[in-house]
Amino acid sequence: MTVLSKGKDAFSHAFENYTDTVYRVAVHNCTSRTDAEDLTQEVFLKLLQSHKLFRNEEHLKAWLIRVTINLCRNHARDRKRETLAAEIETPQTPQYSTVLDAVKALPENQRNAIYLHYYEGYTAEEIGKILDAKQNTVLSWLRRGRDTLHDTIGGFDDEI
Amino acid sequence: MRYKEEMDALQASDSLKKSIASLQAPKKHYGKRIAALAAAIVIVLFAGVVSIPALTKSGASYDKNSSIDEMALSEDFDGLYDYTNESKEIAAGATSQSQNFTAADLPAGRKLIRNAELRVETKTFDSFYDAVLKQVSALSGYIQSTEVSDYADNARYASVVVRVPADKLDTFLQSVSALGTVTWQSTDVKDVTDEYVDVESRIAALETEQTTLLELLKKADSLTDVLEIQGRLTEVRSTLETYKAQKKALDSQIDYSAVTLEIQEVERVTPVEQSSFFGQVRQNLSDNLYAIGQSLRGAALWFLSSLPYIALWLVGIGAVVLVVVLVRRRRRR
Repeated sequence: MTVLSKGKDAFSHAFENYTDTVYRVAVHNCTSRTDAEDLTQEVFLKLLQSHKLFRNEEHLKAWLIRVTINLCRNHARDRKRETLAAEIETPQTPQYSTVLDAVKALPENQRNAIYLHYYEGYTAEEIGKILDAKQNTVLSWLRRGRDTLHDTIGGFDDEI
Repeated sequence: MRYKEEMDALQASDSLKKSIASLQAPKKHYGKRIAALAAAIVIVLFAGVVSIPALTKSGASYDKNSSIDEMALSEDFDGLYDYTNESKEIAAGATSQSQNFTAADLPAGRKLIRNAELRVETKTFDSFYDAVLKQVSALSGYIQSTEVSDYADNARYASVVVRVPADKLDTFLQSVSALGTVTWQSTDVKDVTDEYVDVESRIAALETEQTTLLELLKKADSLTDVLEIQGRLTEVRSTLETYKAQKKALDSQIDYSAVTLEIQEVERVTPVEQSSFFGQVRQNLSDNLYAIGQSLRGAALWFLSSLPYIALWLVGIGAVVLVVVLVRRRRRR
């Protein structure tokens, strides 16, 4: 996909290349895999119904990531409206069986920044443009995320 | 490389891919869509003209007390490819109602941990920073951590975590909104009542057991009994200390809310979305004038920075022209 593309063309390209990316972002921002799968489908449905023109592949991918985060946020907010009582947490240091669980426990901005930088390879500037934040802010999220991961799982060695 | 390995293994299932593949849209009826679009444009224009009340105001009134909470990231962004003022997109995407839970909304008699996060823009970084710290002190709070960054573009950024008494959290958030432009705000409430009650019960039970064991120890008449009771007493005391520490940590989190402030120094604060047509026209004009100003500034900067190169080019071109003129004169002679 090299030039402007929308609707069905973008859908085909996104489906072939970015289904896993969307799913991973959804997993990072949802409490259950079922919710992540539902929201992944919603993202592609939104793409199909969208009349947006994408300048290139990177633009499409960034749009998909943004929409996924938006939908996950809306979903979490709707769930929060139902009850004020969230899951009870102990003040002790939690134990995580996987790095993903530890990353998911980070605040939203930090975990998305960690995923986009350490797995997708985006720079802080690029992440800032995707998440509507200044580069400095993203760098701070990454730093705080790494510090928290160091405390919870003893370190985070996936430096690019 | 654990995280990367976990991500590589995290893939959409075949059933999910199949579901997505089946989402292909049916054929569209373009004639009907064009008619619907034309009708929508007419309605929007009519609504914009009818909402004239803003004309009676002297200017755009920015309500610094309104918080833009958990705004949706604008899906019409071109942020990766358009290096103009990005902060506008934040306000343009602000559509959601405030999701903050103030103290009045919370059920009474529960043990609740309330925390908040804010993102603030300010043109006066130093005075804002000082004002916030003073406000924290005035509310009997304290600074948990600070981090100030100053990068190449000279726009300073600070990440500050403060702890304020939980009953003063709303007051603090309102005061920050009054001091700067809040572009993002989120509050979080965790109900730890059940856990708190459980910890208190365990402490009470262990204290009772400790008292009983001490009395038994006084009455013990054999070395075996004494050793056994003392062993159990040590275990009880150790467990009791752990639960007391847990309760203390919970009390700290309940009594003092953590507020994470991300302070960004800016040249121009994010404009608040206007609700009326003329308000939007005014806002857009202001944004365009600012953008033109920035472009002219950039052009002037480029021109002045490139003067040495321009001078070299002029000298080179001048030399070529001179040579050509001289050669032509010789030929005429």
